Amino acid sequence: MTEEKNMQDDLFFPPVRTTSATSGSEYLSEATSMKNLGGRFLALWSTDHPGRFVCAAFSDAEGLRILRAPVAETSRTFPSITHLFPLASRPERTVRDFTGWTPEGLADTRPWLDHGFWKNAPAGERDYPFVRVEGEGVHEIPVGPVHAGIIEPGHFRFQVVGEKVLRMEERLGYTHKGIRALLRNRPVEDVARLSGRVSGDSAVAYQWALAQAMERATRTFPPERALYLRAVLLERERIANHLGDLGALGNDAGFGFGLVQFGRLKEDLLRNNDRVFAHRYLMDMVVPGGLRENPGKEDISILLEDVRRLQRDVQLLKIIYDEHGGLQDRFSGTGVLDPMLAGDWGLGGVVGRASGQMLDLRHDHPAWPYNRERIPVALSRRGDVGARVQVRFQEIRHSLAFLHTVLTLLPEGPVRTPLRECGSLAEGTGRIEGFRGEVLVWVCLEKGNIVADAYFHDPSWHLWPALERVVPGNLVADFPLINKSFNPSYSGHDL
Amino acid sequence: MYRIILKILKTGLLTEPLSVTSPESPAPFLPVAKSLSIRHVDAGSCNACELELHALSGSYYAPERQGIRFVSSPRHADLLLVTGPVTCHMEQALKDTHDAMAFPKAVLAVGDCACNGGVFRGSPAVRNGVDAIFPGTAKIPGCPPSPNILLSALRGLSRPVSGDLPASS
Amino acid sequence: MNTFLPFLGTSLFQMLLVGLLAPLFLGWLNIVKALLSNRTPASLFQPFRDWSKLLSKESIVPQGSSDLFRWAPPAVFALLLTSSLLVPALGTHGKTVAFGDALVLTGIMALVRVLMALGAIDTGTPFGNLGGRREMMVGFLAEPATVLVIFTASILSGSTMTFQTADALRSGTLLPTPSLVFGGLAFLLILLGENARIPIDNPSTHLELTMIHEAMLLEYSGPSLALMEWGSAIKLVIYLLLGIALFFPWGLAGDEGLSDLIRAGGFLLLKLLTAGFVLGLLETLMAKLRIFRVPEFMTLAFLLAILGFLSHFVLEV
Repeated sequence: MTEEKNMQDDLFFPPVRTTSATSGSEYLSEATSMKNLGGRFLALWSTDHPGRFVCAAFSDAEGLRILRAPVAETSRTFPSITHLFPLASRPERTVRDFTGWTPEGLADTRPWLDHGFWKNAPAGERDYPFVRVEGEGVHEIPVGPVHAGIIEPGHFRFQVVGEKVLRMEERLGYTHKGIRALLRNRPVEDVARLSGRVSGDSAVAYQWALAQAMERATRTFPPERALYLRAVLLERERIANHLGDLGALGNDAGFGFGLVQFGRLKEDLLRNNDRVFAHRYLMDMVVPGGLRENPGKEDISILLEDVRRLQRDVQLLKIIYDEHGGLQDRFSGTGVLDPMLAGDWGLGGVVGRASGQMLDLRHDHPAWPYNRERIPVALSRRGDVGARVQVRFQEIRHSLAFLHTVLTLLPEGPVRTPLRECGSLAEGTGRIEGFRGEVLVWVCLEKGNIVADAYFHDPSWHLWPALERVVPGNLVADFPLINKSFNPSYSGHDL
Repeated sequence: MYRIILKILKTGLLTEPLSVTSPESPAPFLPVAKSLSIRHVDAGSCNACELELHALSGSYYAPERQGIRFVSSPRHADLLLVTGPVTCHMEQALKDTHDAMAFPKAVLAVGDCACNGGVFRGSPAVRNGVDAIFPGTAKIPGCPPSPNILLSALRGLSRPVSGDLPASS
Repeated sequence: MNTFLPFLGTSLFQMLLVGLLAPLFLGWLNIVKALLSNRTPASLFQPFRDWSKLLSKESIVPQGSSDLFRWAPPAVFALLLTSSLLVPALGTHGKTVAFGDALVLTGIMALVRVLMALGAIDTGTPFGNLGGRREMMVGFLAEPATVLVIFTASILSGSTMTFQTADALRSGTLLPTPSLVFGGLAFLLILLGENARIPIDNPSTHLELTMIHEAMLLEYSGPSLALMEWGSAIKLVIYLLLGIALFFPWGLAGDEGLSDLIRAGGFLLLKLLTAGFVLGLLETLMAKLRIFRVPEFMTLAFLLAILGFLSHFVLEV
């Protein structure tokens, strides 16, 4: 009984601190003190539930902190915190796109996700005013939104001299599907299904974060076996994506062997996902309350066999990659993200860890079972493409070791408890370390378990601005390699 | 270098044999004989369909043995393969890509989103599938459709056929 | 006119041979690369299928481009087919309508490169511009190395006519001399660079910002595209035939006896199969160089060519 009670305490620890400021200036002073105490900016969004607020999420040593600024009916403004946290710029512009509220003090007046097609938003500009570089021999290369390969759409504007990039600017929003509007006043099951398709390669991370948020809002405790299996699913998703990225990075540098070998390993993993969990990308397995299906003993042994095979094969491929001179020449020194910048912006995820930032939710604020079976943090200080490759290799190794432990110690029992009914308006947040970085989900439930509003924060909101800072100074022909080493999500970002 | 060669030899031939049964596909409608060039456009997909397309290009499936390959320019392509529910922001780019293709050409919608909007159906920011732009497009449903389904369908398209082209060109 | 007709016959035969060898070699190269990627390869005749399909498609000319764009593919194709007459394929004694040495061949290749680059830049797209200028950069660095390699290989025969060079080497000693080894290595590097193979360019890439050769072809469609792709395959085969003539001519026929020619055909087949295998292996094992390393690569070729040239005088005379 005590064990269960401890687990239940741990599930909701550390608690999320929400501060509803009563005025704009209070919000601003709270944000300033957050900055002074070393807090990291995570996300910012607008909502009508429980009232008209702009919510800003921060992370500090104690956990998650949400700060709310009220938006008056008359003034329709809120204070901008971009001067404190540069990463808040695009979310604030997005809030302005969606609601028309003005961020006071924000210099960038261009719309972000609005391309000028929305009828009820302030008129956006179809010709986005990119910042130009003037000078002798400078010319502009526009790329996208349709790209030459099989990849999501986005526009990049390069200002180059010869082969060297002077400036790169992104324009995103091409995959904007109006997800936030779709999930208002929908039952929990619909929103859970939708959440797996915000960014299809991070289905488990999103669906777990959403489940976490709903479970906290309704104080539902999923069974222990479900929590262990969720971690299994998350790590399998992480490994699959890292394998794909490592193969693609080799291929983008002209080393097709990497793509063949990593592609084979990833395909084997996906096929076993299908065998055991009925979906290659593990969508819809994690549901609020637990897991949809309970794998049996044969399934677990299949998963363990996967681990053993991968441990052998990835080790060999790492040696091949490390020893390949041509490949290392492409990776070394390309696309360096200065650790100072990474620290200043509080970048986590693979990119942050490759630039020396020791930030990993599974280590800092571990959800069960990560607090029981610890995963070491993969770290590198060089900050170039090679460092991001090394971090991915390390993470695969750590995840495989973790999977081995967790699968052998898997507790028995059911995998699902029904979600408790929500009596009145309740809020909850979920934070999960997806393969790119931290996924944050906030949900506001109404009576009868209807979702009043929700927000999905993708780690790419931090990665895209970082990419813009990293590319200048590199060759334009190295951009695909740098972009792939970041692997930011377009769909998760555009909502 | 020896490690690489050794690994290649140890891995052996990975490609799986094609299914013997007649492939299920939307009616074959391109007069090409075992040579199909595909231009892919992501019209707002969540990226899962793209991952399956990448998997399709892998050594287990080897679409090139059937003459199927993905090309970088719409001018080189016979088939426009669309994923995603077609967001309003991608509508123009999709039309431009189709215009840039040379006759004879056709369009294929891959995934539930491209077929009818999928889980995003009803959102004002999407056009609910490729039919809104190119009516009568052939469809491959799935969320996402597996590479086996995709390979079967594409094989069907690259068989030699007699007869006329339908309205989509 | 009497002397012209038999030359016409050999010329047409030579052009036909090279024209057919090109897609077959490309098919073989793709088979090798597929097998090294552990996948079932496409058919040997896949290039034929692809190009005949392209011939049945419409040819689109982008808005804003001029006649240069429209006429570049047939011009390039015709030039390349004509230049195939300047290298021996089966025999070293056949005379063709074209009369020129290896330097003329280099010059024709330069003209082809310029036409392709101009055709690409003519479209006005940023990628045409990108591909065109990168191609010119690779080309202008490769030319001095090519000329020096030709001189090195031709010292033995005293003539830069490829037929005579091949003949002289063939009837000489079987041992490879140091100058030929250096020259051969330099030629290999030049071949990889001029024909857009790894490590200079990735022929199967889908990354538009990294393309060199492919970027110049992005706007062509239908028959024009078929001609450009066929032309590129012919260029590769011509470079291979040149390399074989200058460095591995053993097996080429001397007299024009039919049995000699058939035997030469067998040797040629063997050499091309080996070349395809080696090329495929190189492409699988190596990665693509960063674009600023391409001049270094070409400088290495130049250096090797100089070493070959000098070593002839130091070691062999």
